[in-house]
Amino acid sequence: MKRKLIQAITLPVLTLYLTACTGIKTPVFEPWVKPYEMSPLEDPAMARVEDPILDQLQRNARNRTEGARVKQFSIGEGCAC
Amino acid sequence: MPAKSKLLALLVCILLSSQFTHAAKLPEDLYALGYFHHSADGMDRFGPFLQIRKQWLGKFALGASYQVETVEGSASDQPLLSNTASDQVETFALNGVLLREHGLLELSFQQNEALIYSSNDVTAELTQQFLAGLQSLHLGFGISKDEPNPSVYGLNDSIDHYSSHIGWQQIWSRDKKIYLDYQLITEKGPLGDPYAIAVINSTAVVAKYPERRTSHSMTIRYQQYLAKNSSASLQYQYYKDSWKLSSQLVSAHYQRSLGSHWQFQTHARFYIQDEASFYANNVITNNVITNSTTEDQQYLVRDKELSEFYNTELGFKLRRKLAFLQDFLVEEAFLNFGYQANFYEFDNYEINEKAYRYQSDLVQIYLTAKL
Repeated sequence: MKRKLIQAITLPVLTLYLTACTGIKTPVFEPWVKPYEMSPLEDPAMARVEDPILDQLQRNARNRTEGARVKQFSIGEGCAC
Repeated sequence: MPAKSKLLALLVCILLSSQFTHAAKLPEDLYALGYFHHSADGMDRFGPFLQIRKQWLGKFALGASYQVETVEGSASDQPLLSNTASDQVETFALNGVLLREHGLLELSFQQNEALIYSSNDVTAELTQQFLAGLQSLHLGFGISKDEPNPSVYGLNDSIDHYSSHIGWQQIWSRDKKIYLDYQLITEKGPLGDPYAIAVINSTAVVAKYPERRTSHSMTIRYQQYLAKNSSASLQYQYYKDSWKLSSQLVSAHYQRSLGSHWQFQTHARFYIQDEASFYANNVITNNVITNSTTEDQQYLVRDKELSEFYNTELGFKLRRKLAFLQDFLVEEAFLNFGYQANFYEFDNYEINEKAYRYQSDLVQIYLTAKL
């Protein structure tokens, strides 16, 4: 039991240590849009739903006159516009 | 590098990247009060609405809304309903959003009360961001139960709706976003319009709808940033259900600011629909519909929403910033006015042996504020 526990701890530690020595690089994520370039995407005009109040009224109107049944899921949407 | 290692590296990369994503954002505080009027094919719906949403401790947002809708008149395919009929639909909704570091969890409850039915709707939604906020996964699930008034429907059965949704948002570049959505809805119960009829050999008979419906819809949307407070988007949606009704829609939206106080939005939408398998304007036959006929032949309706038609929609919205209200404890306030017209042209729904067409109008006016 004790031997198994030592194996369970030492094997991963040893593997990590050896991996570090071999020079295998941990993949580094390079965002294709940098955080400082995000401001246009955070503009209110780029919200997923431009105006949730208007959108809800329009959807209700269409649901009464069109045959397709589609529900609006709009998590987190809500500017004060 | 072998393919397996590449895949493993990508997975590790995704997991690690969620540790330095852009934090998700709660919906903003909002106080809204407004009025709408929708007139379509002999029916008018109008009424006031109120919405309040407030953030708490930077971790939660709680919202509530209330709407009273008056319904008057009857549509051209509802001969069982008097054109002087009226009803009132009261809608009350509550919702809460919890902010996690890289995502949002939302729970919503909505209740509708009307003369002909009452309904309760519960929805749970989750959004999780990945890769420094460049990708987001949206998951949603909703259950809704409608209790029709037995004196109208002649039935005690309730209608159950189950909806699920999976969506993906991808930031394509510093000014472009793409959205993909798939939705599945299943419904069971007396699903039809209680005032609709079927017509056989020019004689009105009782309409019969299937009691189950499963629908699928797929949407793709492209959004482009143009300038401050200005963007354009294009959307395509394909829909198909077990009633063999299918539809496609294409819509385009554009918005921009006009000076420092005005914001302008406009949109155009084109919707085209094929008829459900059991829709008929007027069945000419010598046969009698019996239990031995095929399942599709047992059902028959003359409900124009299930017929073949197209709908062209044009609309705009104007928003005016009310700067003078900023002296009265209001951080920002806007007056919004929206109008849209829809033009419906039917292929196989006829009135007096002529293909039917009509125009509907939707007007909204509302005041929004952030205190």
